[in-house]
Amino acid sequence: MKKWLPLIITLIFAGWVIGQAFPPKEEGFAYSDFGKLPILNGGRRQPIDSLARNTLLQLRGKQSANYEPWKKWYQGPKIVPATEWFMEVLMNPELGDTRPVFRIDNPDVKGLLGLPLDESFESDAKHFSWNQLQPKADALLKETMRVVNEVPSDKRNAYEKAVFNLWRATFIYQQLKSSLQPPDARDWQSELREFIENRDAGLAAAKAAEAGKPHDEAALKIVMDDASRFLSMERYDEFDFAKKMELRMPLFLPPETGNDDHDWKRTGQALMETARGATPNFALAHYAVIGAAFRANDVPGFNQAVAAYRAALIPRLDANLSEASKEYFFNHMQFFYLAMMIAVCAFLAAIVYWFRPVDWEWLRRAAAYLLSIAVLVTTIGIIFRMVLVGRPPVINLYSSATFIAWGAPVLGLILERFWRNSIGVVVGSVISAMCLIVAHYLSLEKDTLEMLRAVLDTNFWLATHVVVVTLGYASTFVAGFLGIIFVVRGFFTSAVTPELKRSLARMVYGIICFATLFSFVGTVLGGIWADQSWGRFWGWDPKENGAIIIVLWNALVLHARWGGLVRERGLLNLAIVGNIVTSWSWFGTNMLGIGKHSYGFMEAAFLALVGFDGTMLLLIFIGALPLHLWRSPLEGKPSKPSKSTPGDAEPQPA
Amino acid sequence: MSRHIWKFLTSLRVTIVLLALAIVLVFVGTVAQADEGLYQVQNRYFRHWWVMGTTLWGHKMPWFIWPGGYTLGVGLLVNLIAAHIKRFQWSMSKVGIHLTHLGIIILLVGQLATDMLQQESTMAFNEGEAESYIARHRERELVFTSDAGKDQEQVVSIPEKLLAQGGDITNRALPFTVRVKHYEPNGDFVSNPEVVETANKLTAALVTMESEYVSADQLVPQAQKAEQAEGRVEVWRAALRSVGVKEAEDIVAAADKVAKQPELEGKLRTELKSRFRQMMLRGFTAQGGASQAAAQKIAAGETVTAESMPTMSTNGVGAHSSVTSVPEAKDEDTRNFPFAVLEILAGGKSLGTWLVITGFVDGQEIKTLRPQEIDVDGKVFHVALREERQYLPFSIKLLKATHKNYAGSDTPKDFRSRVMIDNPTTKENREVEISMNDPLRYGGLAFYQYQMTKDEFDRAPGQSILQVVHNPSWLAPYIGCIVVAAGMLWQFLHHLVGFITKRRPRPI
Repeated sequence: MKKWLPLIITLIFAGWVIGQAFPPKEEGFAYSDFGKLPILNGGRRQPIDSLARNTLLQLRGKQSANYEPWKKWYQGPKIVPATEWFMEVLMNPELGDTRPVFRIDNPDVKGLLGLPLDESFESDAKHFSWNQLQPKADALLKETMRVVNEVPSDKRNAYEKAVFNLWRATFIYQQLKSSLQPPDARDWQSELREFIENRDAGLAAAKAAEAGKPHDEAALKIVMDDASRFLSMERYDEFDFAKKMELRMPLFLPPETGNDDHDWKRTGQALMETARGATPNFALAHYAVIGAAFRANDVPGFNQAVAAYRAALIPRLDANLSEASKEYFFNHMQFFYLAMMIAVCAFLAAIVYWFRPVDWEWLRRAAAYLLSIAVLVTTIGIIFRMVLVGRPPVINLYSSATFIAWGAPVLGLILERFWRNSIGVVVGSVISAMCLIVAHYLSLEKDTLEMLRAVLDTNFWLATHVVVVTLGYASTFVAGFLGIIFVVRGFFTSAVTPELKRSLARMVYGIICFATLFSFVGTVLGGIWADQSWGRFWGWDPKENGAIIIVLWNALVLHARWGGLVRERGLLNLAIVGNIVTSWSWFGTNMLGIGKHSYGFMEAAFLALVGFDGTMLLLIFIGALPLHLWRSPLEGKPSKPSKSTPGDAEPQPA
Repeated sequence: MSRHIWKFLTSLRVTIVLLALAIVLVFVGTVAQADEGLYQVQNRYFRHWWVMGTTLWGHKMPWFIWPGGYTLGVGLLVNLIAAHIKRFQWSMSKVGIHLTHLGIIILLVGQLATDMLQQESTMAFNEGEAESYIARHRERELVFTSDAGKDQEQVVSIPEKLLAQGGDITNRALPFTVRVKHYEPNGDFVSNPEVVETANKLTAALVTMESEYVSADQLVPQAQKAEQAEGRVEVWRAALRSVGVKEAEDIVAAADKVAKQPELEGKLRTELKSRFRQMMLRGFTAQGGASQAAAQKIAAGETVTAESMPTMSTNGVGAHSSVTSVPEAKDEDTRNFPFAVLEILAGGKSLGTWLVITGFVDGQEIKTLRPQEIDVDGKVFHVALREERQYLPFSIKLLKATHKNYAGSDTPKDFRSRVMIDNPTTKENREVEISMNDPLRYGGLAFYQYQMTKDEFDRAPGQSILQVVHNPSWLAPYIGCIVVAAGMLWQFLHHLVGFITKRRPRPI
């Protein structure tokens, strides 16, 4: 039985992952079909579902909407998928305006907007609807303009940041309400039809009026009203203040012919062109029918209309359609979330193995297998991303986190293969889970599949420099966590024997060797890239400095070991310092808010970083305490200082 | 004694200490960038022997004295070379170590050479234009040009450094002495006629505004007018509140009420006048340049006429413009606009003074600052303070500049310039494409596509800017990197193979 246990556990988890790929069939509205429709946003073709999820992330930090946030989780609040909420915003905004999807935590912001500070009937005092914010929208805009114009972004306090973020969320929301229909449309299908029917008469009347001839006053008035209505939709794309922040509207209407990204149109833009005499874009009518059926709660009508639009797209944009479906699947699978859950299970299993009353070899194997599944799922996720963006695995901070979450457990499993004491599994799963959590928080910032700015638009350097540097981070972290295991288990338990100490030191030594290689080569490749793109090899920019500090640190550790300045315990302690160095290089340098490489400013991440580094310092302190305070029997017969010349294999205590 | 020194130089402990010092230096030099800016940090920390004082997270730390980048680089270099002389052994297990350190020596030396030899310039041109010089935008030169006949020009250039020193400057090719009366590294230029014109406009606008609040019966119509304009309503409400009206939400109703109270309405009108005056002055000040100068003068109660404006020199643009000195910009992206006032002395008497200033306003060279004429005994010289130029033996013509954004977004996608190289000595005449990550290396120079900001691009759509770098040691990092990587790989694989074979249980 025990022989089969690891396999059974593994199969259960594998089955869970595979089961995710087959969602239950939808009853009612074909939300997923609508979510798979292609649009163009942020310069990137994507399914509506991605825009819906990313919008909700910006509004409330979740990929789904909760319509009853005042209910506790066990009271079964109504939680709806992103696309379902998004359809209301696009096609039935009066209803969308009542949904409490704006999350506000800052009490001063609530004060500014006159919102309740305490929980009350049907309010959790954190989530608010547009209808609640709308009365004070002007005050919010005014305050935001003050913040943007008067306070530089790195000097803003929590309140000013919260004001800015909330305004941005509300602005995006307004943009979306104007993305598919005029936000005030009540019966868009017939309004659109009447507009198109009247257009020619209206245009003729306008021409005549300009020439001072008698004309059809009624037709002219209608076409002018229509035009001003459509122009007000466009205003959300033209608003200078928002343009500065690169807040542009999504483009819903695909090109009539051809497949050039630059031919996609905003709805307002297409309507304006129609008002000026162009042929209406084919998708306008399709979306109008879809919207009408949705408002009328006509399920079969809606599903048919979506299917009809998809059918109309097939001859024009077949590739985009399947691309969008792939991304929809990717969104739906949430590979990195699954991998994180499995890594946590692997970690728990490995920890239990350490405290086992009897020898449970099956548990160690199960833990290793589980971590392998986690790595496999992460791998699939990373490859899926690579296919979707057509880029190497690491293109931004988010993907560097997922890549470390892949590299560290791979290294951990290799260690496990040699030592079979579940240390590799613990290290690999902890780093993997932590990095995936970090990745989750990073994904709240913006679309993680974003397009790359011109200077980063080179697959060769992304594939070499960025990947190698990230592997350097991953291996330095693995060495550091091995050091942590030594200190924690050695000090608090009696599990660390001198032999285990020696093996840990050897693991750390070997990994630091490779970390040095990776970080050095990666850093220099980065310099060469800089030399290729702006003519200077090295510019002392924060991210470059972070990278060189890792190299210097690893070199220092190796030389200290070679010079006999530190022995095994010292090496393991220094490896923990490597965690501080790496976390600072990876994240801290982005928090200076300067430099060409800065990805974005993260407030909460800074506190997390300080907490992490503080913990590391505490562990180093513990690790430096005299051995008689340790519970593990490491005292006595100190290994003699090993003096060796660089170039020997790992120095062995004589 | 020398044995001790030798032992010290080759010591591994010294290596470790140097590495530790370097880590702290890089860390401090990174954090300090938030306060000091990248450019100053480069010069003060990394391209220097000693760091004297620092500012971290907004705290001044003058006691921080630390070896700078040069000291540590040279220290590591000496330590490395000495250790190798002492310990060099020829064996397979050491090849990797030697290669690694050789590569690091190449990198360090190469970086030092780059630091000393690299020169950065720019070349900016519009489509259809050809340029045969590059400009160093950090260095300026004072140039006197004169006609030398046969379509030739005589150019005498004087580096900015000499201007900064002040005193008299003479040159054999110049029949006059240049006396530097005044020099500042950065200034704000305004043209006096423009300031006067703006000031007149502003004064007129203020008069019109005040005439709108002469009597009580104007209050209600003005309030009605203000209701149509976003910013004005707020001013009204603030003014109403300051005279003690509590219900100021509906300004028309409130104005109506106040208009009926003689003691209050006068106060309100004064309040409104002063508030709208402040608002207009603020608006003008925010625009900078001549508007700012005009607003400041009016706010100070000065009358602004052509006569009342200060002048900088007796001749040239300086006779009808003023420059205020501003602090020198320290960061890499902000330009300085140095200026100087020169007195020209010929034959023992003064010909007058001239103002010279380099500057770009909105991407365009200030029109009035074109080279100015100086007539010395019938011979005409043109004087200008411009970016230092280096003339090339070839010219580059911009055929097409491409700037693309991703569809429906403002994220830049692609920047490239199609150029034509025309070299009369080699008879070369060919087209090349320069894009980001794909520079042109030609004639010992490397030409890189510069990514213009959105503002720069909107201002000059047909323009392209190339960054030009002269760096004879550009290959060093490439070679160094390959050598180090090969060395490390050799060494660590050597270990790994040893480790794996050792672990494998030996067959008994």
